[in-house]
Amino acid sequence: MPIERNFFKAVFTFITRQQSLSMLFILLIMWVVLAFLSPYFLTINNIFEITLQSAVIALIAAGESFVIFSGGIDLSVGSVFAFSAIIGGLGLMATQNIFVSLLASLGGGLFAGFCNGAAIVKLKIPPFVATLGMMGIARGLALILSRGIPIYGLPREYMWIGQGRVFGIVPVPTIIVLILFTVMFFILRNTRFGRFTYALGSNAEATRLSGVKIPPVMLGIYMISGAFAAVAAVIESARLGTMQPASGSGYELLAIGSVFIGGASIYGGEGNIFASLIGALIVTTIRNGLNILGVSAFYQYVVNGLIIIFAVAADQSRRAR
Amino acid sequence: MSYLEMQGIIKSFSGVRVLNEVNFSLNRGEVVALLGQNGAGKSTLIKILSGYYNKDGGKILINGEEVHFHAPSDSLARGIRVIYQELELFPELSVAENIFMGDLPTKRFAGIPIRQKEEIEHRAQELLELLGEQIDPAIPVKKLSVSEKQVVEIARALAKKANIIVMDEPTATLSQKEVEKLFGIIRKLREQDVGIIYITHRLEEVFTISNRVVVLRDGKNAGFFDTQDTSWQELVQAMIGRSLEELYPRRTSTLREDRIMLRVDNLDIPGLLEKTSFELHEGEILGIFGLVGSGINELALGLFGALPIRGKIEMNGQTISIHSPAMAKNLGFGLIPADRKQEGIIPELSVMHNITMASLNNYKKRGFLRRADEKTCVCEWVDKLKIRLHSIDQPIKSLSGGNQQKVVLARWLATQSKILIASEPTQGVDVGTRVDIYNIFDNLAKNGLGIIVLSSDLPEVLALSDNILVLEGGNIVGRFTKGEADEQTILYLAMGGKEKVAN
Repeated sequence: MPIERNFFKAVFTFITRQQSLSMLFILLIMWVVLAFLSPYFLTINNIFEITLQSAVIALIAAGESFVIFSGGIDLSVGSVFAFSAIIGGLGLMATQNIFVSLLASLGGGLFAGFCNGAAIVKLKIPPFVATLGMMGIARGLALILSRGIPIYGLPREYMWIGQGRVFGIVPVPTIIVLILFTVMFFILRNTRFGRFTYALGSNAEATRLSGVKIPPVMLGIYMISGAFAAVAAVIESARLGTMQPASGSGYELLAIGSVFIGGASIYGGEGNIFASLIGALIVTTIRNGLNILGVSAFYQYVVNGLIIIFAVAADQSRRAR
Repeated sequence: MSYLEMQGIIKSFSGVRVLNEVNFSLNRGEVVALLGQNGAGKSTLIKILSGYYNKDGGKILINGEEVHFHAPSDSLARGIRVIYQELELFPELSVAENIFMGDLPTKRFAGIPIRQKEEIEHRAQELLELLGEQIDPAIPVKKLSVSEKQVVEIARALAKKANIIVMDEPTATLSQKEVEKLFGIIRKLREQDVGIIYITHRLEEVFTISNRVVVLRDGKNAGFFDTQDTSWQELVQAMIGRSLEELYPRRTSTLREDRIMLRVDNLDIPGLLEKTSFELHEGEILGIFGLVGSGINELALGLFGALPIRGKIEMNGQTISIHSPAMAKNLGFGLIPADRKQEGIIPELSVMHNITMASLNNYKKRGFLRRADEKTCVCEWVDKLKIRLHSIDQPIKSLSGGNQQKVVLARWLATQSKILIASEPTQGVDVGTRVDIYNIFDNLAKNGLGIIVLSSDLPEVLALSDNILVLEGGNIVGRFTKGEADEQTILYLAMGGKEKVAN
């Protein structure tokens, strides 16, 4: 029946053109396969478990999305994650006030992002190098400020951010993710700042010659990235009940991978932030699946590395067509 | 049958045919001029001949035998050599080493190649003498003038036993004297039985040096001529597909003598531009003519705040300072940059977003952009400028060069610019769009805008401008009003000819 064949062909080309859709498709297939492999997988609890586990990576990926859409890259998010966790922990120890602690974390993330942006704009360093430097600096500061010792003894209210459930079932981090992604989606789509973010990634010089002031946009982009690393750090600290100076290492790999899996171009100028969320879900599903199947955690690094390479390879071949 | 035959060559880029069954032939000992406007397909044809692009259809025959070029090395092996405008020499190496680069004659000592300095210098000397040149083969190439470097490139082609040499606008950066010398060399090459494809924009050179002329237009053959039997008129007609009179608008000046919009006094761009002064009136089109490298692009960028400038600028009688494009925009300037790809379009963004990039403040309500408002404005300009597209949401990179240029123009019209700086506005733009752009400029001037057209296209500058400045080497070397400007004098001045600057 030719009509049906044409229909499937059309669907297929649509899916391959839209990497984000094809990734959603892949995510669903993974869930179905895992459900067959393990009776534990497709339970409501485990699905929420995945959204809970993916919250941290998804939030870092949200900030990283802005950077990658603008044609840059932020390697420092894993270290800024630890830095803002420790700053928040110290704030908490000093004042015993949760809000002070949250503001301190957020401030730490924003400050690190500001430094990244300033180095790129003022010192004219490529983002790769500026954020590579910050990766070392922020990690070092986290270790220095905490003297290398994890902070324990978080109040119950703080831990609610990471462990609480609304209506007894939906995890608080999942709700935070949905709200923040929606807000960021509208910022990218419906504000000048969002428009300039894509424009910068597509052609920075033409953007400048359109009378756009580049430095504030650049600062904003990297501050958003830092802020999201901080929010992610708060959630993980609350979940684990501790702030660790060594936490977040390797998270930049997972976050960058999530954005690329979502189909963003490594050259910038295009991408969808919800696609990055799907990317984060895929990364987490793979980890979760490997856990359920009893595969050693060490293999997960290898798998994550391979995912990044193949996600970008898929993007390149799409571009070559 | 000729020595080289290209038959029915077809080439497309991302679905757009840039060469449509193009034929071309060349005999040994013959100079064929390849003519056409920017975007006509000349360089694509040459890149297929040099093996840089693969053709989608057609045949290439050499000596009656079909050849297939998959890489530049295949074409080189067949004795085809292209000399590009940006010469491809190694500045630190000697003249002789450059000439023989790729197959330096060597002796081996214990398996290690040893440099044969004297021998290659001797052989280089012979080749240079063949071309009638006195250049010391031992000195490094970076010490040579542009025209001497060109000679080295030609000698290099001869050393490779080239039968066909392609020269891509070889005179673009040469002085009149050097051009004469180059023609002498071309005649010697002809005697050596070398076939030459000569690409140029300058018609007088076509008549001086070529035997035949092949004209391309919009990727198709637009005429084959014997140089002796053709005329300027005929060639121009073939190139643009219509006569000159139809191409340019008949403008009646709308310049308002009493309203000076812009007064530029002793503008300096360190190292690029010196002591430039001029005035722009309401309703005026000011043409600034200069050849490539004369500083016209830098002047455009400087006025728009994209390059650091020194000097005094007055707008409507008030002194202003322009330190950034953002400031220039807020003052009412708009810029159509010379390099559309690098500086004009934002390729991944949609046509709509490209048009509204400079005027987003107009569509904002409580901090958020309103798509409906944006769309209304965009549709208006798409209609007015006759921009051809499927949808305003398609990425701008999928439009043709001419339509992209109209989008860049629309970007500034949407911001209600008062002063438009247009740098090479019709470069790489098809003839139809060119006519549209000229008419748009004419209309804008009627509505009181001040327009500065900086261009290396002299007929364009002559036809559009109320006043004309000539720029050469970063200096203004001539000032004319519409009536008194003649083509020859302007070109002479632009090429570095000396004359007392008329004020």
